[in-house]
Amino acid sequence: MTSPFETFISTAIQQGVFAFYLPFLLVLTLFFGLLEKTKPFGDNSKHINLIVSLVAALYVMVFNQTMSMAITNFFATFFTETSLTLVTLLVGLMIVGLLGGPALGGKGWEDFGKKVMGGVLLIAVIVGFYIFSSSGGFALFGQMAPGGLNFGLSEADIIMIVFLALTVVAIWYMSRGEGGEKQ
Amino acid sequence: MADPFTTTILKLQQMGFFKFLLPFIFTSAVFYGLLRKSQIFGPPEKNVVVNGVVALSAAFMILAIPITQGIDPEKLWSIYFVQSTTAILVTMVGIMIAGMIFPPDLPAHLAKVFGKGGFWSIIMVGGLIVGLVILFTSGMSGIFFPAGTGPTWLSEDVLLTIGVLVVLMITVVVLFGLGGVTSGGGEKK
Repeated sequence: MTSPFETFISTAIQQGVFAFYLPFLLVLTLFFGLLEKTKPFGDNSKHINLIVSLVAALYVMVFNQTMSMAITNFFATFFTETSLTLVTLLVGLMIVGLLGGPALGGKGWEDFGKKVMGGVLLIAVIVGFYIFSSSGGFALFGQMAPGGLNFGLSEADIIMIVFLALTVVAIWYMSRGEGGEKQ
Repeated sequence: MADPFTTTILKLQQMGFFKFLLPFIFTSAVFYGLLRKSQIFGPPEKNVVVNGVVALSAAFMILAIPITQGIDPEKLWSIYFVQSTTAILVTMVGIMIAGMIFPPDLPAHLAKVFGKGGFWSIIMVGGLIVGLVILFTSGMSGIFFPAGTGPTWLSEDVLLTIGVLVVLMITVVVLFGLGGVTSGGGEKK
């Protein structure tokens, strides 16, 4: 006999809740929340923010139909991996606390956080990027791009762009060094 | 039997909801909001009609695009918003992970710690790069550079070389000129 949860989820899948309704809800909330926070249309623009986020959410909802691709799998894997990462991190932090580390959210923890801020941010970005990649994000982007994930560029073009980026970074690094000496 | 969402979406698609109506609503909302914020025509409360007419005119122009230019906004916009959502989600996950170490309201905390330093320049450049990648992968760039147009008398290599040189020059000008770094001890005042 199937459990009520299985029945519930199967029915929800059949009715398109995961394919259409949840992505709609997610995008609507994300866009509205961020638009309300960043205020690109100034103060008292709640109605405009709502319209913009509603349009974005409707377009994401129609994505499955237009592209014949399911983003449900990507979202499901992405959120599962995210929650696993957060739980792993939480357990790690609990063990640190058990071994005498500073209490989570306490003053000592804040001081520690300030010291390692840059490193933690970098690691967080790398982990976020890895989760995106392992959830099939690149495949999703590659399938959508007109010329594949390389945008129709040849290998030589990509190598040239990489070298260009490296040169820009090198110039930035050198100018940073001179700025430091000046002070 | 198809689920209710698919049925509704198919019906709306047939009616041109995603191809015509949504781009119209989106454009008019964005134009009106930005005109109101930038106050190009003066205080927004005194120029509701002017702002509204400009926004609606632009939106009606957009309404004609699928027919006049043969562009399919439904496909482009849906890809664009899915990719934008993905980029936002990745950033959000990064902030959530970092938030386990840092105190509440991480963005505010970062602003306090890094102030006006180069950190925000890096963030801005990063954001710009992500935006450009989404623009190209979603196919939106095809609107700016339609096939068969542009300076076709120049070969691809020449165009690429010009592009590379321009980017390098801009980088040098920004970093050494506007960045306030001078050589030979000549400090900017």
